[in-house]
Amino acid sequence: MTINLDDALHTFIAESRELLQQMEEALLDMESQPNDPETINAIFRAAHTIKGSAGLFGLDHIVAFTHVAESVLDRVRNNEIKLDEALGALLLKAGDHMGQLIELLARHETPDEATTAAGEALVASLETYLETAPSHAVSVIDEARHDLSVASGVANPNWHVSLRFGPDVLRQGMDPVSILRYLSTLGEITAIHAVTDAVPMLAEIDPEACYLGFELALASLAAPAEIDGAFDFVRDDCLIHLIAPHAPLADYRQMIGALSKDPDMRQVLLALGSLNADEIARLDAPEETAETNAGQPEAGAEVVETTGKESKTAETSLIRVDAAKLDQLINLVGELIIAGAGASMVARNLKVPSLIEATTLVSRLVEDVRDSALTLRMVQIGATFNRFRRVVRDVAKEIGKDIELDIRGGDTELDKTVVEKIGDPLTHIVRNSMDHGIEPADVRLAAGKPATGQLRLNAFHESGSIVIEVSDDGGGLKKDRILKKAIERGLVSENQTLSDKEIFNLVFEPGFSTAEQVSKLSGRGVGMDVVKRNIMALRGTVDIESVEGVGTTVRIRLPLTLAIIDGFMVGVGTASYVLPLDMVVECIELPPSSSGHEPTPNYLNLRGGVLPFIRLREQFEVSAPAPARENVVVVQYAGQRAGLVVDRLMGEFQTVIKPLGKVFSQVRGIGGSTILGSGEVALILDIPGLVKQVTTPNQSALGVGQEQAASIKE
Amino acid sequence: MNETTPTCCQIAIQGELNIYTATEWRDRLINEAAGLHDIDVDLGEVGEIDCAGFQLLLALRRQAGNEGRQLRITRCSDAVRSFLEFTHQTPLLDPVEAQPQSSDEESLS
Repeated sequence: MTINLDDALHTFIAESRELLQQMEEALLDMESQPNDPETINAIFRAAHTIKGSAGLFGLDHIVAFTHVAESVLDRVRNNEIKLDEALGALLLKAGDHMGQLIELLARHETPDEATTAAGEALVASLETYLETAPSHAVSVIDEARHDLSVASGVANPNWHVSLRFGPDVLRQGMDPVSILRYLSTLGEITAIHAVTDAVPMLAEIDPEACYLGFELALASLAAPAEIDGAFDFVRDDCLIHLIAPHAPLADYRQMIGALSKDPDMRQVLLALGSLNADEIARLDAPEETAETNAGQPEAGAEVVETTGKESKTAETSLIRVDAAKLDQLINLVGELIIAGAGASMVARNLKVPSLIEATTLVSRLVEDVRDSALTLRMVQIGATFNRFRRVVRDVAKEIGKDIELDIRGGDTELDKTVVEKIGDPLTHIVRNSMDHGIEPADVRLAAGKPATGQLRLNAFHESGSIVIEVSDDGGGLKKDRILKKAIERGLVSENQTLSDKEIFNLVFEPGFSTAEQVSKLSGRGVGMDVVKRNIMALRGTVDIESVEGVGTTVRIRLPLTLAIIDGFMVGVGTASYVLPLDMVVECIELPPSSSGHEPTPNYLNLRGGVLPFIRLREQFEVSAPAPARENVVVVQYAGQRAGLVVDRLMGEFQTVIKPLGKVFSQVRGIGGSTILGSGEVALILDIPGLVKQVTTPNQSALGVGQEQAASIKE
Repeated sequence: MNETTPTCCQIAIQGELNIYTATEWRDRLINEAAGLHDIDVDLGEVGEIDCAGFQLLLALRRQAGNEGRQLRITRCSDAVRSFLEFTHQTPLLDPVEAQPQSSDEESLS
């Protein structure tokens, strides 16, 4: 099957992915609040829409599979079977399989034998939930459409649409037949009955009033909302009954009651095939299943109407935009910022007040444009977090632990590319926490903890970066074991003194695992180093806090965006450097005592605390002589402070990061470059790298002083 | 219209038979269908028909049936035929027998 990946199909794939995501979330919700009708409907709608759209593209294998899942969901929706844990798990798997089919489709591939076999196995398990399981798994689609009978729902696989038009419909310019024609584009009108009894004789007719009504059977795979939408223009003054396929008989009974003026409804329903003779007979037997539906008496017909409106409002508030267009916009905004900075610089040099004023205004607007352009790319991390509900659930089942996931800060926003790339490392950390962090229930109880383990995902903004925390209330990292292992592997020498943080960070070394037993999930020592590499690639950092017996927190720090920063420009010699403004804490003058004759001690006394510093002149080997007065820019990153000694402070500067070429990737202390308004190139300092460089070798000596410095400041 | 044979009243409808012309056609039909002869309706030149026009035909048919006259549709344009086929109302094209009972219209569907 070769399919032309045209735009519509692209949309279908994108939508299906979203729908499957929603379906998964809803299924997970079901575990906490079982049989909530709204949630069941959400799941059903997702499956139904995918099936409908897949049908439009002739993707029979997707339709066939989804149909079975949908049928099961329909029975759940009609309260015929309970959505218990086993069924929930099965439906999750079914959702996965649908996702697989969609992904294969996206790659122009046809399902291989393994996938097909897996699908058939799932279909077989799903069919155990359908009383009349069709004999052939593969050809379910047609058989199911005709034969699938659901206990209290009617056999009719088609929608039944009953329309009584109000007298003013024609005057308002609506032609009832045009509505029917529209319906026929959503599916096939298999039978139609015109209700003409109300048409008077020629002498009495008001030629502009509408006397007509229609009863019709519609075989359609379209979403309920879509079918319902056909009546948007006539809803107000018409009597419309829309009964879903396999709706409970009670819906029909209700409709007949509402249309009591038409005494022949039963025959009409029979003629249209909406009800069979048996069901007609049951219509008059009020004692039957009415009670089973008591919980949600409006299951079929009414739900359709409300959901139709909901989904419509949601659709109008979102626009799908090609990511490339967005990138182009941001690129242009970047150029605009550079050009704007150039204009401001010229204005300042010319010292014409009106020009300066104008450029200031322009800069402010450009800044606003930049901010809103960047927010276009920002997405909430909640969606990524919610994916972990599934991971946690599955892993917890697999390893037989009871683990609860607590998600906080889901509305924290960050760049879409960052969100996409953080998923894998995060998964790894989460799995690690569950597998090694949280102890088995008996150990937990013995330690006086609740049997259910807690895993928390948290996100928040902190000084221009986003912090993502994965915490568990498990056993914590065992320092001595890590140290022992590290010594064994020769990562540290035996008599080296290390801070807690350094010890914990050893787990990010390649090939390091402290797990006593290697499990399927983790413990093989591959992973944490990859996690760290991935995070570093996003210009982020990761570190661990852990208290033995109490729990572990893995903290990931990521930049908000990869494109544009508010910079602070400094000068050394003739060169300019830019550092991210939000990392700058303060600027002080370098005390002359340490800048004069003895340049060796690279730290200074900052209000009683020790501040290690680095001379950019030395770091970048600038040959120009130092001026009489030098300045120190105090920067802070990940709770650590350091000073950068520079010649000049040149002020704030908005800048677009241009990545450095591969050749320079090994250069320490530089994160990128930018083009100044004058056309000169300025280097962007890699503050995390510099801070690390300045604090690491002397950490043990300086640790105390630093903490003091930090506490003073705070 | 005026070339009536002694036993039959001929009515030809041309052009639009829709909400815009419904009032006009109703008046003309009332005039032309006066009398007690059977009615032959020629829809061969109907360019457009909608529900308003369709209702009018039903009303005419009902009137005829009530007065015990036979109504035949002699010709039928593509527009009318496709409308009737779409609404599954092609039995309307069958001649209505002079049965005063009007409830037999249910058999149309």
